[in-house]
Amino acid sequence: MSVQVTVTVGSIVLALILGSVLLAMVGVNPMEAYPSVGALMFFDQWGWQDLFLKMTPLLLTGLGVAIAAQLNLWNIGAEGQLYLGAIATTWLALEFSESLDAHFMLPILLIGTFVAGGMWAAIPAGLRSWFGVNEIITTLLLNYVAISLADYLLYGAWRDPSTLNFPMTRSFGESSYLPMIGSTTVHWGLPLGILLAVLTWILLRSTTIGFQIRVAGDNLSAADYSGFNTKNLLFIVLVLSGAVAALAGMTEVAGIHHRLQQNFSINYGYTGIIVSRLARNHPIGVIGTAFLLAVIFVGGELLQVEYQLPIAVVYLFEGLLLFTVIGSELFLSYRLRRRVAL
Amino acid sequence: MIKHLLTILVTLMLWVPNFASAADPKVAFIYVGPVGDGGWTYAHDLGRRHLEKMGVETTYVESVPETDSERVLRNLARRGYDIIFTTSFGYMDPTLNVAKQFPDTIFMHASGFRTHDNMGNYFARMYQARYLVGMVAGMMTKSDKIGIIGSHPIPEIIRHINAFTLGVRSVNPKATTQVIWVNSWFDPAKEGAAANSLMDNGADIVTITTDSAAATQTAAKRGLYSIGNDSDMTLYGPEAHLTANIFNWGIYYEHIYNQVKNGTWKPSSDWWGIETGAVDLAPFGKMVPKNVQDMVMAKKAEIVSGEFVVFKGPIKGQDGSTAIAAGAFPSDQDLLSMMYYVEGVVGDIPQ
Repeated sequence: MSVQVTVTVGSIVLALILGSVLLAMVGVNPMEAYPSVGALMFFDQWGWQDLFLKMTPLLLTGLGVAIAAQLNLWNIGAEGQLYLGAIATTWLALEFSESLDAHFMLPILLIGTFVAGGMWAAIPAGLRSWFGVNEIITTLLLNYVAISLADYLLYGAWRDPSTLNFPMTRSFGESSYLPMIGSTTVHWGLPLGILLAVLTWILLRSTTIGFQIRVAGDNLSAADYSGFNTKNLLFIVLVLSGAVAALAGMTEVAGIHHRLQQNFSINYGYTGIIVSRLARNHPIGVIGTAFLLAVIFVGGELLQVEYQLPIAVVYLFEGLLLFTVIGSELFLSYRLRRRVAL
Repeated sequence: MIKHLLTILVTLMLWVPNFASAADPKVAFIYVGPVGDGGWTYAHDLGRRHLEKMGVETTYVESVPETDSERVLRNLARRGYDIIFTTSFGYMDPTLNVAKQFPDTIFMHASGFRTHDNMGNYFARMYQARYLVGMVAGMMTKSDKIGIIGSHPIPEIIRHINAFTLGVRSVNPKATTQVIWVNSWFDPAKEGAAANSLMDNGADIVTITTDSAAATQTAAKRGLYSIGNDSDMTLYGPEAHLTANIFNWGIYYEHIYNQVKNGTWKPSSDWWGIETGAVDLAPFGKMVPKNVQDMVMAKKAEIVSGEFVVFKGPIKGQDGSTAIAAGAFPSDQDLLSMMYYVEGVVGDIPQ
């Protein structure tokens, strides 16, 4: 564990050093830019609120991907699951938020979205478990289905006539708003994500099914021979993965936009794959990597605002960081050893 | 008596909002695409550079996703920018939310319809220029088929497609326009592919409601014609680019800047027409004959003088029924919510 942390921190430092060369090339003094952007992010109330807001959907999609990865399943469908979660939330909010108050509405949104996401993921999960269909392809393709479904609703039945036919639903009733933490702009989606990450970790470590998942993740055939129902395990894990990723859709529309609108996800589902991968699919680790990616996004924006850097430099910066962090895995997988003379 | 006067004075002082009394307001822009899109965002950035040339301090953030704009706007507001221009429809509600949080900052939102004590909205009557470039297309087409790459099927875009089609058919009643939707503002790959499909289908001129110059590049490659949008796209295919309907935002941004600086700014919904110069045509390509140019410029003069109005009945809907009755002028509200095609457009509005 400590080796992992050391290598990860080292690779981030390396990215910052390489990035400083990049900054110097476009005429920005990195010695000045890093501290000022860092201060704006970490020592400014708006700054850390931004980080937490940006981190929330990444944490939930990242956790979803990480859950599937426990059985070496690739859930590429977090984007679609997020869209489906948002559709489920929107339907519930539009139907019921006028007649129910927040005490009923919020649990309904949470459970409804979770179930809807799970049912959506049950399609690739069932195909994988009982027909051996590759989940990478089915989850990926279902993304386009979910996004098209959202478009269909936004251009059709759900379009708000009062917004001059622009593709967005009307605003939800206030009882469907995720409450904010204290007087901040951060909604309760973040604590929810952290709680789910911890619960996942406990589930994997301290329950029978968690044990079965770990065994099956290490060796599916061995799990089969041990008499575990691996088909059921694959199904449950992929369904759970989709259900958690779908919650990201709920926190975005109920926590921030308070309505469904086109393109509301900024590739959070796909970025979730990176979040999970960077954390080596560790459910607690995704909390850290979701935060790291939030820092990259928000820091990139601040670099633009403060130094008028073109967005391309920001993208390069993000690329550098991902490159060094993922590249550093080499040092985790292989270690130099001094050969001891016999 | 004096007491009454004092009360009135104090009330007045409290009532008149004290906006950005700073002598030199700082101006920020957020863009939905990259500055280098060569179209929509580029046109806004030319406006920003116009302010810079006047000595105004400006900044911008490019490629801001609409759903992430609230945080970026809050960042700009707390960094002390006095006027913030938000240049995409999807920034509307985020702009309103942030405007409420920062009452001393002035927000101007392009292409929307919300206002607040410190938020106005603005657009320009691009449909007037669309009609004119439609005339160019109508006279230049040989196949009588003109392709349009649509961004999002929203009223603004439907209005532009209709104005363009009216322009085409005012000079060439046989011609039709065909629309392909790409559901994106800026996606050069999709726009290029859509241009190819339209041309495969017989269109010899394509125009766009999207932001990139991909269609012009595709037309140039295939030896056909294109009409650019938002910015002069001649550079991307001089032999293909007939003309373009363009924005000159600098004129408008200077106007708003001066209002704020002089303390006369009030929230409003501005919709500037071609007579202000905020919309115009790009220079004609060499292949556009003199008589075509003259005819179009004559019509432009008629629009400027108010003698000719683009949307004036009788205008037929796509199915031949009456969309706008003879002699009727639709209100701005009707234009802003236009959701039907006029006669001559082929295809359906996605529902």
